Amino acid sequence: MGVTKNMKKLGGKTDLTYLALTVPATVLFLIFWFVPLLMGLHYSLTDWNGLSSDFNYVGLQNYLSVFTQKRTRNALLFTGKYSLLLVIFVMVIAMLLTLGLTYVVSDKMSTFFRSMFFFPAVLSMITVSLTWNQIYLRVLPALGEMLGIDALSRSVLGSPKTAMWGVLFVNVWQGVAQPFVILLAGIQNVPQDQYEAARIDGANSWHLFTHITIPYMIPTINVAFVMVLKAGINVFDYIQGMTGGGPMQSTESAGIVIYQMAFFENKAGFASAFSVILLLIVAVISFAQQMVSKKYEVGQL
Amino acid sequence: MMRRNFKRAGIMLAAMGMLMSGSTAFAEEQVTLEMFNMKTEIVDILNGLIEEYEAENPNVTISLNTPSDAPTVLSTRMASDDTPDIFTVWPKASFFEQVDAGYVMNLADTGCMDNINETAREQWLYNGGEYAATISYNFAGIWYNKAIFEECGITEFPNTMEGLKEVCATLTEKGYTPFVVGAQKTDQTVQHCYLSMASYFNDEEYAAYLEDLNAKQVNLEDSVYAQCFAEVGTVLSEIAANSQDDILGYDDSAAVADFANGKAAMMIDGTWKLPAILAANPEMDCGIAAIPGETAEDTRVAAYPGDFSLCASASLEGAEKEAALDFIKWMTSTETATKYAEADGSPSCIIGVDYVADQFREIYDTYLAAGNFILNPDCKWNSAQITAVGAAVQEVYYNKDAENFTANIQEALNNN
Repeated sequence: MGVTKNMKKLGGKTDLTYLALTVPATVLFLIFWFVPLLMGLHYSLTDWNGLSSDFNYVGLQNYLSVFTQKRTRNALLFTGKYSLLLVIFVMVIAMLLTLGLTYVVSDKMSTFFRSMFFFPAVLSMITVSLTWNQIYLRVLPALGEMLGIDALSRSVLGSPKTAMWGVLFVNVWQGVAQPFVILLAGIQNVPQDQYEAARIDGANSWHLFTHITIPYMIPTINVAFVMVLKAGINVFDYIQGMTGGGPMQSTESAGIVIYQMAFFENKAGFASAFSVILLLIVAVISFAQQMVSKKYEVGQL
Repeated sequence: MMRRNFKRAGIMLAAMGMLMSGSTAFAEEQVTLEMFNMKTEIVDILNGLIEEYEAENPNVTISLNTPSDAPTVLSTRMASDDTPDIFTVWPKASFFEQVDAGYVMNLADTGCMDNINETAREQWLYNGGEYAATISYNFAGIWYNKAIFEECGITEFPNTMEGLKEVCATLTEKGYTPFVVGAQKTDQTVQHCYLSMASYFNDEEYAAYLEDLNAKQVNLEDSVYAQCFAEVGTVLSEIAANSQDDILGYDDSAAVADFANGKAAMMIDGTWKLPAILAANPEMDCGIAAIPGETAEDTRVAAYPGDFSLCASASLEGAEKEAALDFIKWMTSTETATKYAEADGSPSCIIGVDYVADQFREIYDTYLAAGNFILNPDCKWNSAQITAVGAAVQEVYYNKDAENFTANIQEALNNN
C-alpha cells in the first residue's frame, strides 16, 4: 500500500514533468498543424481565390463539386486505385523482405541487405523521379530494341495505359524502404518462446507465420500501413516529376489537382475542400483498419 | 530694423537649410529593393544590369531573387501580403486576378510605359490601367536545322502546309526524322495548338471565336470557326505522323537534345529555347519559322509581348516606390533594353531597339515587324483550360489522328 502511494506521488511529479516537456511540441503542433487545418476548413466553405482578401461563403458547394466535377472525380478514382496498388505492393514486398532477412539470410549478409534496401529512402523523390524519367526514356527503350521486346521500346510514361504503372513502380522501389525497416523492428519483438511452443505442438512454418508472426506484428503493420496509405493518397512528387499528371491527364492524382487549383487556377477554396475530403478519407480508412486489426492482434498490454 | 532683417534672413536660411537637408536625405536615403524573377534563363543578364544600375545609383541596392517554381511562390507571397518590390510576370488571364486583388501597381502615368511601343502596351491595357512594363516579345514556331535542310537540298523553309509536307517527305527519304516532338507535359503541347491557330483562323473567325470563348460557348459543330479547329487538328496529326515514335515519352529537354544533336530536322518550340539549343550544340546552325497555313497569305505567327515584363508592388511608398519606378524606367530605356536584347536575343518592345538574334531575324521581319501576328491565344485561357487543351493535343499525338480533337477542345474550353 505504502509503495503504491509513493509511486503515485512520484508518478504525479513525473507526470507534471512529462507534461511540461510536451509543451514546446504541442505549441508547435497547434501553430503549424492545427491552426492551418482550421484555416483550411474555413476556406473550404468559401470561394476564396487564394489572392484576394475578399471572399464569399458558399456553404458545402465546394464539397459537392468535388464529387460532381469530372476532373476531380477522375483524380479521386485515380488516387484510390493508385493507393490500393501502392499499399498492396509495398506491404507485400516489405513483408517478404523482412521475413527473408530474418529467417533466410545470415546475420552477416543481413546487415548488407538492410543497407541496400534502405538506400532508396535517402534519395529525394524529385531526384528519383527525374532519374527514372531518363531511364524510361533512354535506357529501357534501347534495351527493348536490343532484345526485340516491343513493349519496352517506348517510354512507359508516354502512354495513358501504362504511365500509372511507370510511376507506381518507382514509388514502390523507393517506398518499400521505410515500411521494411518498421516491419523489421516489429518482427524482432515477436517472442521466440511462442515459436518454440508452437513447434512442439506440431505447427508448420505457415502456421507459425499466420498465428504468431502476423498477430504479434499487427501494431507494427498498422503503422506501416497508415504510412503507405497516406503516401498513396497524397502522392504528388513522383507524378509531378515524371508525368506532370499526363499523358492526357491520365495520372492526375488528387494532390496534383489540388496543387493546380490552389496555385494556378486560383481556386483556393475549392482546393481546400478537396484537401479536407482527402484528410477524411485517410482518417476513416486508418480508423477502420485499426478497428479491424485490433480484433486479431495479440501481445499488447 | 537691421536686427529684424537679420532675423528674417536667419529664418529663411534655416528654412532653406531644413528643406535642402530634407530633400537630400530623401534622395540619398539608402534603399534596398527585392527583384523577384521568374525567368531563370536571364539571371546572368539581370545580375549584370543590376550591377550597372547600382553603380549609377549608389543609394539603391537591388537583390535579385529567382526561386524555383516562381509563379507558385509569387502567388503565395501575394496572399500573405508580402508582394516583392519589383517582380517579373508573364501577363495573361491569371495575372489580372492579382491586379484585381490590388497587389500590382498601376504604371500608367509613372513614365515607366512611355518608351514601350503601342502594340505591346495595348495588349495589356486593363480597365484603363497598365500594370506590366513589357520589355521583350517571344514567339514560337518550327525550329529547323539549316545544315540538314541544306544537305537535303531544301533551300528555304516552306510557307504553305503542302510545302511542309513535301519537306517532310524529302527529309524522310534522306533518312532523317522530320520532327522531334516533346509532348510529355501539357504546357508544351498546348503551344502546338495555339501556334497552329495563328495560321488557321482569319481575323473574322478569330473574333467570333473569342466572343464565344468569353461566354464559354465555344461551338465546334456549326460556327464560322469550327473548321479552323478541325484544320488545326489535321496539322497536329500531320506533325505526329512525321515525328519520332515515342512522342508522349519525350519532354521538352529530350526534344531539344535530339534536335540540337541532329537526330531530327525540326522541332516546335519557342524563341526562349535558343540558349538551351546552343548549350546542347554550340555549333548549331538553326532558324525558326512560322507554322505554315494552307496558303502563304494565311501564314502568320502567335507572339507574346510580355516575355520579360516588370511590375511593381502596389504597397510601395516613399523612397522605395521612387527607386522602384526609377529602376523600371531605366530598364525600359532604349539603352538598357538594347543591352538586354543583345544578351537575350528576343525582339524588344522598347521603342528604338532594333536588335534581334540572327536566328529570329527572318520570322521577325516577315511577321512581327509587319504586324502579321496574333497575341498567343493561351493568354485568354485559364490554367484548367490550358491543361485540358494540352491533353487534347496529346490525344491527337497518341492516336495519330484528330478524330476527337474538336470535341475535346470544345469541352476543354467550355467546361473549365
